[in-house]
Amino acid sequence: MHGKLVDMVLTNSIDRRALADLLFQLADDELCIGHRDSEWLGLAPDIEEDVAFSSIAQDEVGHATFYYELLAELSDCSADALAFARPANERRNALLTERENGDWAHTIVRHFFYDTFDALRLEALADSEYRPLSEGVAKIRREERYHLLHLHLWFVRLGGAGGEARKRMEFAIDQLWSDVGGLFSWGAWEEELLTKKIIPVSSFELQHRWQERVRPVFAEAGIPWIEDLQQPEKDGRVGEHSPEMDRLLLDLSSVYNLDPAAQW
Amino acid sequence: MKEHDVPEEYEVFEVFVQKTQADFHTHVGSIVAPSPDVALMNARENFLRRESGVNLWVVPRQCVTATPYDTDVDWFAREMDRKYREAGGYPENGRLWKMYKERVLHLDEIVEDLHGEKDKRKNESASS
Repeated sequence: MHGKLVDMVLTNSIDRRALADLLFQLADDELCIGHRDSEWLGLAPDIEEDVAFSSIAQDEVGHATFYYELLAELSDCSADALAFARPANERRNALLTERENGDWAHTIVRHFFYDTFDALRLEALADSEYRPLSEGVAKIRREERYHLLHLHLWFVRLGGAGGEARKRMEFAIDQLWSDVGGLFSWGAWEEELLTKKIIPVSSFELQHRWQERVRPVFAEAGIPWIEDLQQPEKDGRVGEHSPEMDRLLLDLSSVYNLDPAAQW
Repeated sequence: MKEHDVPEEYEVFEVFVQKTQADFHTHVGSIVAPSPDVALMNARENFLRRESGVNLWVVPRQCVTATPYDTDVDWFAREMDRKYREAGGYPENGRLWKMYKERVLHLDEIVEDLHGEKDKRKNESASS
């Protein structure tokens, strides 16, 4: 199906591994955040938000499916096996996406940070020389537009509300801030990916754009801006993860592991 | 938004979906939200998760002026025969007209028809 791209980019095994690594970053990010979102089912602040947030969760898992299917075409594994059967040290998601859910403010802050990053990443990948990716990304961007509007609205409302909501928002931002720097890494193959124009934007530039975009939203929400972004202690993009990731995988794969060969 | 502007209570919003630009906005249900922008945001996922649409309205229920249910039962009174107001006969016209047009004409009817045309033209030239 994607024979042309194989000629174009995957001329040697290093390029192939670099491309697969990038696709795993995208797929694992979306699967983890989608899974964490889905854990809110029945628990969101009101029934309307419950439906809306579950729908966002399904969108994220749908995007993960798209990336896992691209990966399945490049390998001998099925998309299901790639999603459910890989151990934590092979996962390429950023740590921010695997963190256990806290309160609602924590979820809003985490998701707003991630969605802003994801919007910028997709914006960059829309110009990727790897056509199957740039074409898929065009569709995914249209769905992510609503997610970002939704999360932006919540972020500004909770920040602007003052009182307990504001306190919880500030606590969540404090808790999550050290994970933000880990989003922007393109992993072990950034040089190769940039050279082949599979990614057109460096992680440094991505981080700069993220700060430019998030700073005015902090102002809108009346929350003081934090200048420094830290380098993460663990880099999820090279397979370093927290114990929270092990628990996530155990939960996520519990049904798959009952019988990996089952036909659904 | 100032702290005192934040509504403490949720409000009911009626939701209207326009399916295509050629359609009316149609009432699809209601949702509860703390503000119109949240109502609009959640209406999208609650009513257009599977369906498609081009436009959404949310209207605070308290802005709707409605008839009473029980204090004035005569508001909707229809006591006398109102059949004369109904446009019930028209759907039949298409079928009847087609039947009339498809009827096989006899030869003398065709002749009569032609004569009729000739007579008409004769009359027209005589009168001018």
